[in-house]
Amino acid sequence: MTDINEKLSAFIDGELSSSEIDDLLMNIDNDGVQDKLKDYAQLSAIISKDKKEQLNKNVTYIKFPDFLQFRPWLSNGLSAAAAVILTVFLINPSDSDRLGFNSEAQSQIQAAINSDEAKNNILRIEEGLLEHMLNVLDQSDLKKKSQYNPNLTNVGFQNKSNRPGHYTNGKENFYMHIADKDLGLKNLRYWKSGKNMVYLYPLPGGKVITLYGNLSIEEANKIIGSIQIR
Amino acid sequence: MNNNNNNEDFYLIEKVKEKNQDAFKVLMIKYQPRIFSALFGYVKSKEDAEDLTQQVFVRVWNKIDSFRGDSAFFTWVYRIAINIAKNHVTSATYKKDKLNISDDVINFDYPHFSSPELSIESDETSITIKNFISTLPEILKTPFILREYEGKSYEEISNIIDCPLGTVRSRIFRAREATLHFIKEELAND
Repeated sequence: MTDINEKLSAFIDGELSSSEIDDLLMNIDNDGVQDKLKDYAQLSAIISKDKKEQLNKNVTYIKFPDFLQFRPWLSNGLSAAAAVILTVFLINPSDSDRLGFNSEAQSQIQAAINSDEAKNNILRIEEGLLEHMLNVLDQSDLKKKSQYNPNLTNVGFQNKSNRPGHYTNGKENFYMHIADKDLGLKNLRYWKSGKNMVYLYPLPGGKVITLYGNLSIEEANKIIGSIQIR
Repeated sequence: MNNNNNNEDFYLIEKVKEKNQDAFKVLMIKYQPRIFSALFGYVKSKEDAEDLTQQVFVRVWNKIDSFRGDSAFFTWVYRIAINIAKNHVTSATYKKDKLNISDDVINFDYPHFSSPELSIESDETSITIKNFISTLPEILKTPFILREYEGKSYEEISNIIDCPLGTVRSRIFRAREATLHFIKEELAND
């Protein structure tokens, strides 16, 4: 019995040879074998869940290798946004820190991106956030008047005259969107989308600001801090 | 999931494609808890997660011929699970779908767990397990942690702790057994 149980344990770890798998299949209906395999599988799943939760305490990462497969699930037509491949990522900063960026977070991002799970798994992001984000990314390509178009010269950014909501400092470019929408955010969250970043931050009065562009965290921090909404 | 898992799974999948139900049963038992855990995190209801997990594996059985091995088997099953979960959230016909499961062609006993104390949805269980693992003797703890928390293969662990492969396998098995024994004793007494 010990021998078959050791094989079951190795099977859970993906370490059985073909001949041992054949042996396992011959024994799977024997008394106790299935129960033992179930126990090992369940124990492994609990540990895996715990591991994932530890990671998610600081890092939320997603991978959409087949992004289009997710489109039917999105409730609204987000056609242009379908071209945006969100490849991955990120952060639930500390509640005690308004914007909570730190070097540890950066290394966690890297760890998450490099981890086997990031490569193999698709983890979900809250549907409301994703949908909002895709809407904003969608709108960033349109020459549509933003509801808010604040002056950001005090933090070194100029509004592009022909594109409402688009700003540049010559090196960094981004699109700003402020919506009357409560997404349940408690603090800043941000994601990487190709070469760009998406920053979401809750503003007073049930509003949310979204920044999308090749903005560094430091600049995003400054911009968000300068926004005054009445 | 390591490459060895892929090899093992692909070997079984070929058998499943030949309609070998034992091979399917073994794969289902192996991955069911992780799929349940993912679905439970999504729907927040044990009953719904169980129903959806069952739907997932029915679909896996029916669609196994379309699995080409481009991704890990678990990733493929996980995608099916997430799609089913999303349909569950949005579909008004969910209850109808649920009732129709028995009409499907597959005929196998859906596995239910023999140890109710090993509850995936309880955070307490994972904390208890983690605490227990930290008390294991070093010779068991190290390979077990390297396997379960670091995802190392037996060969990698063998190199790290400078032990024969068979010893690694045996120690991980013993650590797993000790943990199960402890959990069953501990949580059954609560």
